[in-house]
Amino acid sequence: MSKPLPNCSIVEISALIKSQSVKVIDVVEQCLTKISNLNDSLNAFIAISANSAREAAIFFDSEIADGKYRGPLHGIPISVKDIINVAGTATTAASHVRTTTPSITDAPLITRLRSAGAIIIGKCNMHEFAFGTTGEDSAFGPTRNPHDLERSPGGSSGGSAVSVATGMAYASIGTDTGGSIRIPAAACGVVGLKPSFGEIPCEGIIPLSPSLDHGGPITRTVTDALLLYRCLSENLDGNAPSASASIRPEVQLGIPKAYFLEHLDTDVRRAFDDTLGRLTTAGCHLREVDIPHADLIPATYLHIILPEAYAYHAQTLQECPNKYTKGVRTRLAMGQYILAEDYVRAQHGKKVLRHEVDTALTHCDALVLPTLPIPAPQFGRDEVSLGDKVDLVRSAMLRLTQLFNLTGHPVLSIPCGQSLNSLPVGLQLVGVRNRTDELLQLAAALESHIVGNRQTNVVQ
Amino acid sequence: MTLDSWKQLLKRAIKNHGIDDTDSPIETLVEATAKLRQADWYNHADTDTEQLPKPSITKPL
Repeated sequence: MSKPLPNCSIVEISALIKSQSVKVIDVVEQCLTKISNLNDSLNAFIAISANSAREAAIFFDSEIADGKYRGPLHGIPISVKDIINVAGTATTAASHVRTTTPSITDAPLITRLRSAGAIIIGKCNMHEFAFGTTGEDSAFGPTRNPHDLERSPGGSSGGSAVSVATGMAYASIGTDTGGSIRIPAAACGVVGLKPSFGEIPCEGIIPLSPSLDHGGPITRTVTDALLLYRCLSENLDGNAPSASASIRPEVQLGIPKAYFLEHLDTDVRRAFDDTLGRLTTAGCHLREVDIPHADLIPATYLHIILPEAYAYHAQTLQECPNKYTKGVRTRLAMGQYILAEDYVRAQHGKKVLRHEVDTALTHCDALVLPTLPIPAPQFGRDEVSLGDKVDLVRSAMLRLTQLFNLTGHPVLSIPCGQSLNSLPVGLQLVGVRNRTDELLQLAAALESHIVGNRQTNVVQ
Repeated sequence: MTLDSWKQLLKRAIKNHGIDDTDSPIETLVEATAKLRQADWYNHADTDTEQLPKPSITKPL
């Protein structure tokens, strides 16, 4: 019996599990060893479920020995952002505000994973209450980027992305309210999916902004993201998706210009342009598209997320304000004073922007744009320069992702190259609303052209 | 409420929360609010949902 492959995909390891070439317990032990070796320096996990993961592994090995195979997630170790209820573990949201009482029940999306045979290996560190993009504000200390320990892994699902990038888990489940799956996926060099709004249930997840919140997977490959998406949306047929899809003729990709490309780091622009070149060579047709009110995206987003977040936290903010980190507390406090008239204006803007993205996709299979305008930022920086523009790090990191939380379109972030100092760069593919599966199939066909010559240099 | 009145209220309120060094996020929010109030999108064709009534005041408050 061979040993599990290091850092392989779910599709690859599940084939070995199915054929009994590897045991589930060996796969789990390999992840636990990685966690043991790396978590002190990366701080990706808040809680590690070693005992329950081993018990589940032995059970799933016995099922296979008895001829029962649940499907491609059978025996796959998966980590979960610590904002999602997992029975038997506390849901801390990386905050001192939360108690350490364990959850009694699983969130519905965790139930779906367990039914498919997935093993929950631990709960991941994150930006407090998912209200930030760097991971610096956590009651458990910051998570560190495995490509450069002095840099942010992105957030808020930073621990989730780090766990996948380093082989501590085969996939992770995160949440995305303004980019919190895609941002860390891009900063850590892995794949992140924000499905269409409402496709994956948010019950059992601590809300940030209920009209913008999405759950979704972080994985090493697009095909793995498709596999997890089908499980989480209860559309799993028991077979691993094919990873060898080919590009159909006449794929049309829309490139939103102006706002989306006018303030990019030099390395991000080069990686993005190189990727467009590879996609063109592969036979894709590129066309410019327009989002007329793009310059109003940040204002619209801010006037929805701030009051919705405050509404959830109003009582605890009054009772124990000093238990929040300063940055999160400041944003929540500002949310208390957003006027109803401005919230209504923003809700109207949300509809207008959704219509404009729908229109941009009318003659395209997908939109293509960078995920982050900058590579992963260094810790402690409040501002970043992009050409002649100086922006808050938080605003810059949300700039290209938050639109699709407002509009509800499905978006995938895929690694598309590196900066000169070897930091990952990510690209977003945006699909038609409620056609997440089609977007993932297109992305699987384009993945090798987007990724190019992938080099990973994470800490081992 | 005018933008300036709201800005002063916001600054006082955040200060009363006991949070210091908030000039930058407050300025960012106030700039965003100003931009939102100047949006021309009530003049645009609406989406696939119901038409919101046009506000009686078309200029920023």
